[in-house]
Amino acid sequence: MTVAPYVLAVWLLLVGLYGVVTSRNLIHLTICLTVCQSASYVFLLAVGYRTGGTAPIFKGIPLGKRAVDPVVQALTLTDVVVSVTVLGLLLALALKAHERNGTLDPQDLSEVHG
Amino acid sequence: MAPLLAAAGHFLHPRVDDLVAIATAAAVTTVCAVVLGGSQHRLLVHWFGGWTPRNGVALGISFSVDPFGAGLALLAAVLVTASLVFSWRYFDEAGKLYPVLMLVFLAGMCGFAYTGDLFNLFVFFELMGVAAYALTAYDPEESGPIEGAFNFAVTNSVGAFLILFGIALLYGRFGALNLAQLGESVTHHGLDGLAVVALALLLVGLLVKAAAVPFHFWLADAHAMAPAPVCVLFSGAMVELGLYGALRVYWTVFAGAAEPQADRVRAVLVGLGVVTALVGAAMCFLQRHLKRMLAYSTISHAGLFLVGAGTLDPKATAGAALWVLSHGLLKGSLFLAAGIVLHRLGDVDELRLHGRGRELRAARAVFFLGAAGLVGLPFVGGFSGHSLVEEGASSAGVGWVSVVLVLASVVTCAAILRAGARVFLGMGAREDPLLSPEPPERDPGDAAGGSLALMNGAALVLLVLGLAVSLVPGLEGHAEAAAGSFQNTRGYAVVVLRSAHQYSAAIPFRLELPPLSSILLGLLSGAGAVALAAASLRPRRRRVSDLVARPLAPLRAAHSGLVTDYVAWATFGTAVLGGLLALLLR
Repeated sequence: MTVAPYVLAVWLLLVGLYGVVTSRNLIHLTICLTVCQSASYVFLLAVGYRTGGTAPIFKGIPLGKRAVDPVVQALTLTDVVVSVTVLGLLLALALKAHERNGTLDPQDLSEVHG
Repeated sequence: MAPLLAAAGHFLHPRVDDLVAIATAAAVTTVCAVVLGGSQHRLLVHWFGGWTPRNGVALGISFSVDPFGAGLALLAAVLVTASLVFSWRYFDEAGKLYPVLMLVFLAGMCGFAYTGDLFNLFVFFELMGVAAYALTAYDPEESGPIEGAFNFAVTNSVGAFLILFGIALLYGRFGALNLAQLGESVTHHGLDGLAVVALALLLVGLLVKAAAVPFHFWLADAHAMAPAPVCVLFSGAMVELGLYGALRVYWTVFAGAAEPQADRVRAVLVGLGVVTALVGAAMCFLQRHLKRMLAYSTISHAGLFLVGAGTLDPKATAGAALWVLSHGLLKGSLFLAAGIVLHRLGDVDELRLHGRGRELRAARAVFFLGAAGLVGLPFVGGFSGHSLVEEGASSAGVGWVSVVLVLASVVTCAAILRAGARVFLGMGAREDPLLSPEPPERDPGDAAGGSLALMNGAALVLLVLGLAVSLVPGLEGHAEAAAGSFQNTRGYAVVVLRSAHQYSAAIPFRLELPPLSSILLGLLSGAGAVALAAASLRPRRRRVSDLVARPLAPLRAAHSGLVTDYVAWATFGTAVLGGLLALLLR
């Protein structure tokens, strides 16, 4: 087990956050958020990885064979479902914002502040 | 099992009429009340699919319900019912989806309050979130709601990622997701670097929901733009659930291992709460947008609850719980009153509404009595919670926080009184250079839909319930017993994993008067709030306004309405909080 996937996950998270913070376009911002979310997939899968393990399908393989952790895969799957929901909602909102104001730049949209 | 029904009952009616929705919400309220009754003397544990733990090892997913969780779920159910009654024919078109979203939101909140599993907590966090984002933008006729929902969704999603990272760290290390199981492992292994990082990530993620500074920016935008009956739920239940989640995770998983360093955890949580309370109060006082003003008052109160629960003292935690209860009901009624104003007069701007609300008697009563309940006048509203938090804080060695408690309550209450006096009594100056920039004009909507009687009724019922919280005899004893079991890390694990029954505790029925000092303090706060409101209503010289406004200008500028800034602040806050915890707990 190497540290590479963990480094990758943290890097993805930071890159995604950087993208969100500097974004000037709502769609770009949403995609950057998805990059952050991908970091969590990588992280979860890395946590459950066993060197030399097979897929956790226990039909037709000898008993006691090493397999990767199925729980984190289930968690990742749930995470994917959640992220698709949020992504869809955010894109719909971005679409509405564009319809209403003709712009996707958050700086032109900020109507209420202080 | 009741909690199962509470969570699943909503999905049985994918397309409901308002009536079915109200009936469902009322039924859920009843179920939640039964669950609360059942959880009084022991922790209720339900294992889904019969996956009960063997030899103390949990593989299944459980609901583990204690009185705090059950109480919050009940509060949420009451508020949803009131909001649904309020919004009877409130939305003219596309009204079909609104009750469905409300019920999904309620399901998320109940599940979040009941769950005993860390990943399940995350899933309910997201379910609650998605329903809430959609509800914020429910009325997308203008651009404001879309922007508010966007800021809300992005900030909370970042919080959710951090939670997920924390969960993955804990699972990778200890191979468990059940809170009780994790608690046993963490206590056994001690608090090493990895556990501290996980604690920091989980706390930050949940505090984003609880609107602690600097993770609070989304709240005001979402509240200002969401429909008023939805704000009731955001302010009254969702924010408090975030705090509950943070404390639940701390007490079930980390408290055993962090016992020796409890002082330092307390310092971090109380410090965060104090800053939140003061920033919220200052911003609240500067608002002229009624709903935004109430939103900042919620941030301030969330900070006060964090102070109460963050002292880690059972008495103060019980006080915070009672305060949450009365605040949820009172703030709910205030938002409904703001909704009535918006619905009848088509505006939420304090200065433009000057004197136009004279006819709205019920809303007027709610505004003034609600403010009195929030500031903690003796024996009404949040008074019992307030005085318990003060007692607990001084026994935990942080008695100085009572200054903050009084200051924040006085300022937020004064802002509500000032707005009420302007709108409903026509008092005070028509211009105030101190206040925030003028919000854009709304289209005067036709006040056709909705029934004023039902709206008034819903607001008044919440008001009366909220004011009565301090009067119920014996409630304080129950809350203290509940706080004791909430903080019992070992007891929780034993009951969940080994289905022992050692949780029950006889609750002494006490009927003692609160100390004279807290009665005096309550009266003083009330007087202070009235004085401050009166002072702010009088026309002032330009110089005086400038004197107040100048130090607050940077604070105001920070609330820029830009989601990119909010995420930057959240990242900064995560780094600071994580660094602090790492330094203090190693």
